[in-house]
Amino acid sequence: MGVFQDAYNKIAAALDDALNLDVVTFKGTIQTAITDVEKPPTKIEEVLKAAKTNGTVTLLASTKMSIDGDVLVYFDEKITADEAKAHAALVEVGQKAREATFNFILNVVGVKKDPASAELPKPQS
Amino acid sequence: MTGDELYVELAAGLDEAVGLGHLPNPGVRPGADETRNDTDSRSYIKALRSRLVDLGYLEETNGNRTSGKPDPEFIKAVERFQSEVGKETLRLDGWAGPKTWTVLQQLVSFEDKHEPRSWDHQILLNESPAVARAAWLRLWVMGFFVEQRKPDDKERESRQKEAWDTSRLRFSATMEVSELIESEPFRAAFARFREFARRLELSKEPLPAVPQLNEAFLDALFNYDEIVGKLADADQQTFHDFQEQIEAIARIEFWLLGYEGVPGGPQKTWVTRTVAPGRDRREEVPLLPVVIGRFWEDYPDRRGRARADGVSVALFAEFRELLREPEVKVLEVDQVVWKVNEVLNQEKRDNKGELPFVKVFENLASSIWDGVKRLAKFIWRLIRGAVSAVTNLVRNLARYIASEARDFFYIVVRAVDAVHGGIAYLRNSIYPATLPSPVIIARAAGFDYSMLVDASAATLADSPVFAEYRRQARCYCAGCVILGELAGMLGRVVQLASGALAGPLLWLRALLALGRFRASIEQVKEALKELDENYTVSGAAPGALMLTDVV
Repeated sequence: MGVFQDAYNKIAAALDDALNLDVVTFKGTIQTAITDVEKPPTKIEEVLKAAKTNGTVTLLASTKMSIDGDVLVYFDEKITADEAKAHAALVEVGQKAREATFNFILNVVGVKKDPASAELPKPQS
Repeated sequence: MTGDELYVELAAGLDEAVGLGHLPNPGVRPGADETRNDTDSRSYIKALRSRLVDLGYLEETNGNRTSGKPDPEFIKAVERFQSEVGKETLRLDGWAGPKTWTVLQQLVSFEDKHEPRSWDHQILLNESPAVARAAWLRLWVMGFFVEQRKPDDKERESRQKEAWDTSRLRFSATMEVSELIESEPFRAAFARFREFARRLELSKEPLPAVPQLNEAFLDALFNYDEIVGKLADADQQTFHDFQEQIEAIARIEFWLLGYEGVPGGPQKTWVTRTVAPGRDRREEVPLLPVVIGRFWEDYPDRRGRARADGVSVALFAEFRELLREPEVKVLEVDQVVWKVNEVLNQEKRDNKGELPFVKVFENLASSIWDGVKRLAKFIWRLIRGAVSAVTNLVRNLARYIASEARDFFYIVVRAVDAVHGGIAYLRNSIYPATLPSPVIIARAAGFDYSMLVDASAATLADSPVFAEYRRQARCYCAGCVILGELAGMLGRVVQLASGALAGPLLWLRALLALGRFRASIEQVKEALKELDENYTVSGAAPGALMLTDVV
């Protein structure tokens, strides 16, 4: 499969559930969450489960953005400025990636209106 | 075509073009022994070979001049050139990358504006055999090694041919500057050029009495456009005394303008003449008068009483006027695409016997890597209807597309690299791949995120791990923009093209059209700016396809 085709397939697959954007930040002890370094976890749920088992996990912040613009934000009272900044940065990453993906799909499908796409007259010789 | 089909066509076309060697191969690492020079296209290698042969670094054989592959002899020739330029300027690695090409271009190109004074910072003028060879080549191609023959010399033609052949720079693995410039032929050529330069006032200061590779001589010798311009004001005596040289310069100018012929000695062509009613005869005649005739057919207004078949002040005055036309930066995209498609759909020879575009492109696009400025102006004149003849349209379009496609291909290479950097971001459901880490980021479908921060992490938002993740995410966004714009532009190309887009040249049409969609290209460039300021394709990003640093 070509490079571009491969990219397109993966991008399209990323839009399985794009109605809402959820970003959550936890705090825990990552070192103890990893029980087998040769087979590191591949899903966040495994990491969180291990972290809870070996220590405490605290919800630091949560941001939920719905497609219609509603935003629900939660910050733990003990969150540091650095942690809040990282959480906000991750929300921005998610927003921009989602928007870029939408625009890409629109461009490929051709829904995006472009004056240049209209039929042009043959130039006079 | 649907979006999917457009995408597949574009990808397939690019892959095919790389496979055939029409475009550089960005999937190999340049400079490595096993892939050295493989990063570039066949036509680029051919252009390099031609120049290395002309400068005497490679033996004059048909294979050496026309092959599009970098064999061991070619690599040695590149190393010889790099060595003679000097290790302070070029690495001696046999790889003809951008730096080697740039230096070679400075020494060989006619159209690029040269500043030999600036060479002194890169090449030691009086000590560089490369500069000496370039000076020999430039004097040779302008005919200064050829004596003026008397018109009544019955053996003029054969003596002239012999003079051109024997004075050509031959292959020499090593060369000393003194060996070249103190030779008798060079002294004679230098003396002729010195007088020529004096008559045309090419230099503010007199050239040295004996051959030296000083700034004054090199400035006068390598400022080709100035020579053409001055000849437009030259007197008849100069035209008489330097007829051989002026005809040679006219051959160069016609070559740059896309007419038949190549720089160097006189050439011949076959023409058909009617000797009696209903009876034609083919005969071999000198090419230059035929080309001059065709030129005046294209530009009849200024010919006046100038000879239709010989060099004249009026001819060079017209050359100068064409040079003075403003440079064309942007062509009307719709008009260019229409014209290109018209030519690309050409199947058989036209009524003047011109070859189809595909064949001409294969034969020609690699042999001319000069004259792009003249070429762009030519195409613009054609589109405006200021030029009606099409005898050299196919040649010039081939050159234009080859040049523009190569430039635009670099943008495509960056886009693919950005996508692959972004795909790394998409693939990593857990980031980073190597644990433990001060932070773990997980992305779910739909771009939902979960982040686990280590309690002992000193810095989070500005940590290298977090910064790298944001960089990959920016890659992804930039890649989406670029891919989206490419697909959109290709869709518009499909709309504008006449007939079905099929065949191996789809990529040519797409790339040419892509290069002309300014607004979309600006979007692409803005997307690239989103990445690191000094973004280079280095193969460092996980999963990156592009390994070359040529761009």
